[in-house]
Amino acid sequence: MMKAFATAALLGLPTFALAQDTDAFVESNILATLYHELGHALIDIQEVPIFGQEEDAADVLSILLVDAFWEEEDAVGIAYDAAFGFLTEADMARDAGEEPAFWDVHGPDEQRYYNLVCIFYGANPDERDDVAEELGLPEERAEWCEDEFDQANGSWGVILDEMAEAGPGETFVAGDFERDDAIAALLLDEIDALNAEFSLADDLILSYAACGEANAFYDPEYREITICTEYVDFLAEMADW
Amino acid sequence: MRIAAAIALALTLSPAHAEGNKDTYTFQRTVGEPLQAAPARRDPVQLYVEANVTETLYHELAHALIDVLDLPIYGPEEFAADTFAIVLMNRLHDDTSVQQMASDVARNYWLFAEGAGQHRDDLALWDVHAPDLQRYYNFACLMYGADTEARADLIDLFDLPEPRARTCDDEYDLAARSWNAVIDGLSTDAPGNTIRLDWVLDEDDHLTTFVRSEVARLNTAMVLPATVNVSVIPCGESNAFYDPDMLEIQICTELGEELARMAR
Repeated sequence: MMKAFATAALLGLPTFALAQDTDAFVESNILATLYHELGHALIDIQEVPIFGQEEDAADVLSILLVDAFWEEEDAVGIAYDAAFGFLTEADMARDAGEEPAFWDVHGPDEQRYYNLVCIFYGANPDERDDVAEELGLPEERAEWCEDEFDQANGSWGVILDEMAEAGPGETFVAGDFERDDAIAALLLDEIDALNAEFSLADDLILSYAACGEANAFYDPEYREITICTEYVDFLAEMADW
Repeated sequence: MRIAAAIALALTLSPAHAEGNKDTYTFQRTVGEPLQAAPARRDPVQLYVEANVTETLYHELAHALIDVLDLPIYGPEEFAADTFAIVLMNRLHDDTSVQQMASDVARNYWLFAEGAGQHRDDLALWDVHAPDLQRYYNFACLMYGADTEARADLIDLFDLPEPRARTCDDEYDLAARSWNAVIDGLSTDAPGNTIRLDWVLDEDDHLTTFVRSEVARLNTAMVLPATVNVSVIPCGESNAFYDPDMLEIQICTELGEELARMAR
């Protein structure tokens, strides 16, 4: 059982049992993170105009791809795990006595949590009523989520459409892979799946390597996404926290 | 099971809830005064109101542009509107005016953040409108990022943490590249008369006179594909709105009054 349970209680959200194991939690969060970094990469490589905050645009793409790439049951599982990733980080910060960092380029974790839940719910409100309820989405926000999803999907959809029209290709390239584990296999599968459907205006490298911190990056200089091995280890700790 | 996904390319944009919700601010001198007027001693209260009304008017204009031009928005529309206001302030006003406005606008965000309470348990983080403190830091970062050399002192003035300050240059570049492409497209046929002062409560009061001068400035700079009305009227609350059904921006007279109170 994850710490997510306690977090939900702290936030005053309805509590419930979520039987996801550590591996699934780590994999879900790696996927959500990969799709987020892919957002930064597309903004750069496909020259996507960003009228607001880039970090939000990347978060929005992440949850859109979870919804679009995965069948319902898996999508729901990934969305829950990714949502709890944000809550657990908020919880850890709270335990450490930290206030939310409003100065940060990323929004506060709880805000990212609600944006994720709202758009995921808005993508399929008929079937995801229980998701919205379980994850504590306030009704005042929930009533706009379908519109929020439509706007997000309409915007990113144009970009994904262009990439799909370019056809299958080999523009998603495996870079450094320092580990040969389940996460490596997951990332390589993602590269194959993306190549099977999309081509970019330039190559994008995906690496899985040590970076000296628990994080993930897009580096526009090399057009490279790095999923840090430390981040995978950190997620495993988080799952058991 | 990952599906070889047909991505739903729903192209319907939804301008449904484009109303702004800002109790805010602005900046500067009226059209007719010489542009480089010697620092005529302006009433600081009026300057504060003007700075924040300008920012608010531009913010609401962004909602109108997003609606009328069907612009793709990839995150909360409120942030896009805040960002547009900053890019347009930098585009239409000289550096001295922008810096004067920036400190009044930042101060107003800060005062609202204080009023709202900063403790995480007091904040509605589920709300589509971000906490004022977050908008404060986004504002500070982009204003500094617009010219990191000339505005280096803004880091201290706005108390911008170093890790954030580091990305402001890139953040402003992306914002300016995105929004200026849109504004460039609207400026080819300028000047025009597509932004129209509509209902006003009092033709001659400070708020209306000032909004009229800003509308004139905007018409000089851009021509919209549809006429957008601007009204300066009582709304029953201190706020400003964009109404997509009427293509109308409403600047509430209560907003001007509240800003004047806050300036004192």
